[in-house]
Amino acid sequence: MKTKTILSKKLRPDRPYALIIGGVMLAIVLLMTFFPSLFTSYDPLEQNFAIALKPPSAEHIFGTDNYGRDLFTRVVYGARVDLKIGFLAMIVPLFVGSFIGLVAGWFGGWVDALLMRIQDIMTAFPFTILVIAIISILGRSESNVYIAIWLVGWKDYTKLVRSEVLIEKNSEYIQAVRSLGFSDLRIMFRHILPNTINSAVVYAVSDVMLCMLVAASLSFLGLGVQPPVPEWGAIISEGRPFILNAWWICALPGLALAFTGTSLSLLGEGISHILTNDGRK
Amino acid sequence: MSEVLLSVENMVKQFPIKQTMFDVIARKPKRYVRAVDDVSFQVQKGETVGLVGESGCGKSTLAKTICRLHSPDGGKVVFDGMDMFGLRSDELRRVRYKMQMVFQDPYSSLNPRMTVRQMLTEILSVHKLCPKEERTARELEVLDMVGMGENALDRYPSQFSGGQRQRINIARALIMKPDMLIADEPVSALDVSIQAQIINLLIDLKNELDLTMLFISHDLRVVKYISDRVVVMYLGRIVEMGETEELYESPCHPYTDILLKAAPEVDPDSDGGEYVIHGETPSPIDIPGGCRFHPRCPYADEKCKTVEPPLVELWPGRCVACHHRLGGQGPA
Repeated sequence: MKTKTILSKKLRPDRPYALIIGGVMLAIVLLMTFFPSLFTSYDPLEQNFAIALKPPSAEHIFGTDNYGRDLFTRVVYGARVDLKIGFLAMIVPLFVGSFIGLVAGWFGGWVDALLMRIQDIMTAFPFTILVIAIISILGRSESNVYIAIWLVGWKDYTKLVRSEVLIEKNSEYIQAVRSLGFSDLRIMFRHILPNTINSAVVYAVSDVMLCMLVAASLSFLGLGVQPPVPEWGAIISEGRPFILNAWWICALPGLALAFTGTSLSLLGEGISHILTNDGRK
Repeated sequence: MSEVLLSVENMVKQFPIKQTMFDVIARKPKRYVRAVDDVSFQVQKGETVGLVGESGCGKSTLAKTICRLHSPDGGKVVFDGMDMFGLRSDELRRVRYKMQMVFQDPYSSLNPRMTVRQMLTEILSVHKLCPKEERTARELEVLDMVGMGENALDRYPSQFSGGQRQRINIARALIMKPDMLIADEPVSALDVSIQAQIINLLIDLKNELDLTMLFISHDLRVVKYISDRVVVMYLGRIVEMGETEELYESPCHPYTDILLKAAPEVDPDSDGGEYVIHGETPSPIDIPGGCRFHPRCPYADEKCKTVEPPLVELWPGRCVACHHRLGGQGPA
């Protein structure tokens, strides 16, 4: 509490610091995604055994890996792969899961019971284990990583949205629009969804990070993105045999993951502040 | 004799009590809260009927079931010649705007994410009864009716006070020009000074628009002020109804009598004796046998504990359900 009061004297609480800092950090990552050549002049796939496993230096600021590839270049190009996986893996569950939650909460009864039991069964298994199981069935490829995460990821959004729909659907403004003769679809999407989607959207922002971590773990296990594509998890995985004498191969891509994760959770917090503001300044 | 706009016949609404798994295994019978238990009354076109009773006696449930916000468990509601419970859901959607509700809590009855304009425009566009170019004019007209100006249009509910929100609620209910307004304790969440404004607004609107109104309240003074007729409910049943003046002057049911005596009065000449109803409202799950009011009634005898008194019409417009009705004969 004490640190909070000291902080709040210097920082203006009405400024969305989390949003600004998170936004700037994510902007750097996005810049890497779209214009990697701005950051580095090397090729991420070019091998040069003469300079293999060199520590960070002015020429190669993140050092080089066991094939002599510039690690910083691989991390920069990896941003594209990782962000793509993160966003693609998040976006489908956000929409599908929220929709299922809305339907389950609004209609209730056996629809709700059925959907929630499916959701319970999926919750009973650890997320990563289930994803690994699905990938082993479908086969190793990048698109199967998406499919596996989509199949498992929707349940969190369903839970979040459903619980809020249950609160909102009995409120008087919903009764008022029902008595005005609005259709179920209109009430669900125009009135209930905008009042219940907040937590799902906030969760989605940090879920990008969770999806990236799952994808990185899968690459680490050899199930996700296949080499030589520069993906952060894959790079860490490739550096593992050399961790004792070339720490930078594991540590620095990990730092990139942490950096992106921090930017996304700050952004999520900032967005939640904006979304919970309903006109009051 | 004016025509009947709303007729409620033997309406029943009960809510099942959730059973635990053990209850199901033990095959315990399902139990119900009988919130509205065999209620019948009529509302004439153009009149205001007040519905009074303690909290939990089923007033709001009755109102919401009439609007079909709750699905009924029995009985019939005929509104403007239509059997409301017999309508298919798409037919119901097209006609239900003719009977509108104003809710109790002005804070939860407006969508916090919609401006007043969005809210009103949506209603007009859904029912397509108003050409696009005339919408804004209609919105301004209805806001003007409830005493609010153009600057309210583009504001969010959180930017209004409770009284203003209740005005917006009334505007929302009136924009489709309904025949009937059901006001479910529209003022009980407001300050006394604001209460008077809203009540007077409702009376003005009723006269101006020739509205029929069912006004629900636990506040007897408010009901006396606004209603032509009063219906008194106790534990899901009607115990007495009649013309307002008559009912307040000479209540026939002991419950009405006690309610009226218990209401605080601003009268320096009254003897100031506080009158308290003994005991609490029995649970609507275990409704006492015989007359529902007998555990608390000062006149109760053996007959009241076993035989439930029917609602009998004493004279046209005046009904009471009691073995020992007051007024005229006096208690036995």
